[in-house]
Amino acid sequence: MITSKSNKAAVMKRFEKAFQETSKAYDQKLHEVIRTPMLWPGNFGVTRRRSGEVVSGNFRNIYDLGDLDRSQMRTPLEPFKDRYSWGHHSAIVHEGATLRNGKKIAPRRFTRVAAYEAAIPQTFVREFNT
Amino acid sequence: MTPEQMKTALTQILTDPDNKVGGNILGTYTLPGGSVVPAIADEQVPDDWEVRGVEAILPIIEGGETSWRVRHVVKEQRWDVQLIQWPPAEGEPNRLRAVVDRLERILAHSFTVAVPADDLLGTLPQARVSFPLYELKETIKSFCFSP
Repeated sequence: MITSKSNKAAVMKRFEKAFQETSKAYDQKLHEVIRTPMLWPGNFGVTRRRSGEVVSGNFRNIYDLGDLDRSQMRTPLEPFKDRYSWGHHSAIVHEGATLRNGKKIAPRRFTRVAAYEAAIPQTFVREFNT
Repeated sequence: MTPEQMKTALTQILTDPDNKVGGNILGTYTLPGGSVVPAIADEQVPDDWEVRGVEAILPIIEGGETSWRVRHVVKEQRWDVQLIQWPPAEGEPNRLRAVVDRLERILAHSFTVAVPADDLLGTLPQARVSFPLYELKETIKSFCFSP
């Protein structure tokens, strides 16, 4: 006679834990990408920031007064679905913009950089196995 | 597929008056000499070109995305079209919504990121339509070069 025992609940628990840990890691990485200066593609001149800092060239962070960094919010929606949202002008940082006088602001896709650096699939597998 | 072919295909979808989805809804560049061409470009055009209506820009360098299937890493080639709504010519409506709508209907697997105008910063309304390359290839086969 063969008996079998389902361990679905235990496996699901491990999946949920892995998802939570991966989501937190991505959240942290996004903060890091916003705060750390890095080389963004595009043409950036000299910018006088509201914080008083003057930056020039492509090697810069996207921090300034920290509004973007502070407005980041992680909202759990469903068991395996989280939403990340940012405040008012975040879309212009992320997508770039064209001003009425014809000048352009290059896009800075910080979500893509963070997703690459956080190595989401690998992190998920590692968290699942530990 | 080269950027030139991509440009030709998108121009045909958006400007050809004889195609199946309707007329020309793309904006125009007016060159210093006075000639008028469809407003679609690889990068930023010279400052003395006048832009009217919806401008489409195809950034040449855009990284592909990798994703995990069961145990393989799959490389997907995606293309982005950036659409910018400049002040239209006299008597013409703003056509950004129509352009996004047409691209979304033809390229069913695309997604759109729209950014509205911001009066304080003085930015223009814009949208980015991102689609996988295979879809446009099919579209060209069945749509653009059919007799």
